[in-house]
Amino acid sequence: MRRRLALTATVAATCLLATACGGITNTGDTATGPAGSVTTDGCTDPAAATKPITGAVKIGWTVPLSGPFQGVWTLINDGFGARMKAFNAAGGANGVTADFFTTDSKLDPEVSKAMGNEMVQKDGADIISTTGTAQVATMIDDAAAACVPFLAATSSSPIYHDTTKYPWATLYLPQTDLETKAVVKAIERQFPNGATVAVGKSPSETGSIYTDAFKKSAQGTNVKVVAEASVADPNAAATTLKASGADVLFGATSAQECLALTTAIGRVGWKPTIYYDTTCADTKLYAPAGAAADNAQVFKYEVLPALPQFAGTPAVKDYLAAAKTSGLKDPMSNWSVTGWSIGEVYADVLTRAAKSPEGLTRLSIMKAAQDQDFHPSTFISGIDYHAATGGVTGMQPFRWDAAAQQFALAGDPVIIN
Amino acid sequence: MTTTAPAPAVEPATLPRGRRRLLVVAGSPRHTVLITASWLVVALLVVLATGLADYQLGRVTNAVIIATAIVGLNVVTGYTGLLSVGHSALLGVGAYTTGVLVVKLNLQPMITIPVAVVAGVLVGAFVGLPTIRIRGLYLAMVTLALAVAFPEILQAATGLTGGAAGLVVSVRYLFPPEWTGLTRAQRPIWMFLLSLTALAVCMLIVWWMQRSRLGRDMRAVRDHEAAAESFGVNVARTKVVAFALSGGITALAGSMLAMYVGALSPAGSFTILKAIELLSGLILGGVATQLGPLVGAAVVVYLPVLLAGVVNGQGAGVLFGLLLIVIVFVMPEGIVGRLNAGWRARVEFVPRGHPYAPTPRRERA
Amino acid sequence: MDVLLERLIAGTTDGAIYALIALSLVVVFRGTGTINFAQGEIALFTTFVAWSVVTRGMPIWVALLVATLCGFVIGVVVERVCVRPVAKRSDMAVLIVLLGLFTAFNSLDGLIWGGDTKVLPSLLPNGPDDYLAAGSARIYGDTAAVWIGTGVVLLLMIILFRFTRTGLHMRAVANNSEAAALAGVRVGRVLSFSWGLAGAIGSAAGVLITPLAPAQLSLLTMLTIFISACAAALLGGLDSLVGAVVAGLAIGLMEAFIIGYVPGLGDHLSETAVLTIIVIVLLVRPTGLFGTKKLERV
Repeated sequence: MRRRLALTATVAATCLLATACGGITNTGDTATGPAGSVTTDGCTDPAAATKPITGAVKIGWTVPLSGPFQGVWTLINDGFGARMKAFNAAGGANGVTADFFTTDSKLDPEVSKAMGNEMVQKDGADIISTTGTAQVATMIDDAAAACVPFLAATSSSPIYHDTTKYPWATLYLPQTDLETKAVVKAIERQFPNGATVAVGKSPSETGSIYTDAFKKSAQGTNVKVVAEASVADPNAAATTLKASGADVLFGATSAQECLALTTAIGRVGWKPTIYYDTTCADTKLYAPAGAAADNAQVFKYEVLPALPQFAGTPAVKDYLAAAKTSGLKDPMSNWSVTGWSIGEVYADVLTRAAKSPEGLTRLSIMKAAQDQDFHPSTFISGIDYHAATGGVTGMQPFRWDAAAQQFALAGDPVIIN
Repeated sequence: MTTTAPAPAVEPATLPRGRRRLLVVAGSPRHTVLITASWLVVALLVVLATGLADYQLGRVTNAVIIATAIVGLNVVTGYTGLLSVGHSALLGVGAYTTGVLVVKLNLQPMITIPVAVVAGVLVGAFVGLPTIRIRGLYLAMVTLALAVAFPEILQAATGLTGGAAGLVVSVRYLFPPEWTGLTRAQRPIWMFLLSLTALAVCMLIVWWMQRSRLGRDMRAVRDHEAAAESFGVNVARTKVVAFALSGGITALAGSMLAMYVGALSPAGSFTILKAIELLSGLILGGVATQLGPLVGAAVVVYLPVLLAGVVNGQGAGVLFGLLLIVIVFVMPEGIVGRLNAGWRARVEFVPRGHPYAPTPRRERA
Repeated sequence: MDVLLERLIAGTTDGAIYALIALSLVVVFRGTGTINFAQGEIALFTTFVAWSVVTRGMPIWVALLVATLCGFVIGVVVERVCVRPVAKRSDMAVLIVLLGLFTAFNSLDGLIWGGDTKVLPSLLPNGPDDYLAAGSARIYGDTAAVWIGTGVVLLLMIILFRFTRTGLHMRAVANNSEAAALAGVRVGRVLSFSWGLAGAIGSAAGVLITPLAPAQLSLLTMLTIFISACAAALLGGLDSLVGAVVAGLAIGLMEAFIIGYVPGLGDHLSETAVLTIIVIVLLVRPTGLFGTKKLERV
């Protein structure tokens, strides 16, 4: 009896909800304009978006400052901060300086969301950003609702490159398929008669995004994916991948996993041509693997200040000098260069927004960010940052030289966009 | 009435010598005043909360949702004594049910709530089934399996769940419904009130449950399983029902979380670390107490925020860990457990007709 | 055939890693009846200590000794200062203390040693050419070190529990601590020793397994390993040393074979598959493969 009552109550409540909500499905209006147009329609406070920014433009960043990824992000954060210091020392944007501050996202979506809103509402941030797909996902709509530009966020997910859906955001990392296309092209270059590829896949988001993009890029080419294995267990993966007898190993892996995979395939005595995705472009991930990592290839777009090919260039000399005056602790680290390059993107946006007819406002910043097409000084020459086509325009192949314990250039940059 | 109450014999501790205590008799005017006053305080807090800035209200909403999840965990771990490190998955079941239905079937978020609860009940019951045979710490293995398997299953079912990249519930689906009369900009208030309602409903259900026969059976199972069985408690059914109820409540919290956060990913809020956070909240707040989940949720949501003001970076983690230990040292029975004990030492609450009750006139005001 | 052999070796290597940590969990469980959730992070802390010792130019076996000693001291201190005061009052409180230590130790590692990946040398040589060939399969020095380590620890523990006075006392406390106390066993000391011993085993294990860990020496090294080790301890039966080793190896082999031979599951759901098998085994044997069944009186 009581059970039937409960059931009736549930059904009744559901019906009530359905009628109260005016139907079961969403009518969901599409509050987005044509591609590339930013407006203040739908902002909670349109006036704030068009109000001229005077004194200082507040840039709020929320990245992991604690937990396992703190090390990398502290370096990137330092690089970004140093570039903003240099920007201010050079007079800022028409006298408006950058007030850059960072909060700890703990790489947790709920914390990041709270931080994003706090930075906008409490600290009055004019621009915010974060890292990691889950964090970007939770913050991007809030930023758009407040009409606060969400600039150069780092996520490898292709979803957020869509400017019709996300007119208030730009991303820093290149679209993954751009990189996988470059990898496929490089493989074709090396194996003109076609090649078989085994994919070692990270169990994380990076792994599936890169694997899917690689398969798509390989479609219709002579490059065939013949095996796939999760590197959660690198030794088991190495055995399985080796058994496929593929010519090439593509590591859709991130950070430490690259090192583990290289070591594991070295140990099962397999010597394929190795390609890694760009999250593995760090000397610390190759040196410990010894000879097994020799000739492993990876694509990058930022300069490596330590390489002789770059060390002498005016751009790198300028970078090192400016980094020194800004007090950057470890300018030779790849991660510092990444942070500095993100700072380059911000500095360019602010400078151009300040020159626009409206002057420096949140709206003009977002417009400038959408039109952004320039060469960051810490990018490899020939590669630009072009927001409309998804950020970075090309990729430079590098190979690991195990004897020299350093990367070396491996051919010309592959320009896609 | 009074003949059946051998009070001093049963509760010798209620006869403190030389300590002045406030005597409250159920149904007396003093009792009514106290109850009304506490409800007024609650109402005042809610009204005050709606006046907060949006970002602060967002945090409160987050804490309310975590509190709801902990209320669910309390049913299994608190009242029934079955340790669970798998509630992150039950939270995820609710969140993904809402997320998938809104994104794939274009349903109204509100409609998905009952579906999420049903999904939680089913998964909860399924997880509860092995408890019939597996006991104690070994049961933690079952819930551990759930916690570890859930993110992996999400990633495997890419077509449905968006895989590792996750699922985005666009904010345009999440505005307050028209009948509420709230504007779009008032979404934070709507989300707060909605999740608060969910919390209140769950707390009411648990309050009712722990006074019912089911609640008694649960406590019997917790205190001594074999003894409970010998007294005719259906241990197996009690455990499964506890898990089902717990799953439903936690899934409701998940559904709220999906609406509040607007984006779901396997690596985000549904790993074993979340389960540990819920468990920490429950134990810090007070196991098997009504208000423990609220206090515990406040601690796990706000303590890191407060610590960030003191020390940033890895130091905050060290401090957080040490503070957990300190809190447990000071209050091993949890914050609410401790407060309850302190409160009982000062206020005596007796039913009408209790031997202490017949002398209200001589009480000191 | 060769592939099978390679998978066998990969599986037993991972299995031995889980087994080593699981052994330390079993030693604590025998004393206190709890799972030490901070065990993995304590081991990681002492492994970082070992790394510091190595970077100061000391050989790795000195680092192993230092880490093991550190682990023993930390184990004793944790039991005496953090666990014992709350253990009498509530099991749940012990759990929170251990989870607090878990967070604190991991953050402390980050605070002291930073977040970047470090490489710890292996006890036996593990260079690209330092292997024994078994057909096409290769056994490297670090793999051998983990196998030997697991065997040695298991043997020492069996000797300790079966043939020494201390071991007898530990068994007495595990069985019924009140009765043991009445019989003159100094229960407090035995508990401290159990935790210290577990800390030492975990720390030695940390040094042995880190060269093989997917994350090398970083803040993430122990997280996944510890979960599998817990599963191993539970599958083996929480109070069984042999069970921990058998279950650890079984889990390692299951992982390797599922990833290798079951394409659909191995790609995406290898952990799920392994854990489901463990739950099914527990349904048949509710106290694990080798765990003792406790009789209950009403």
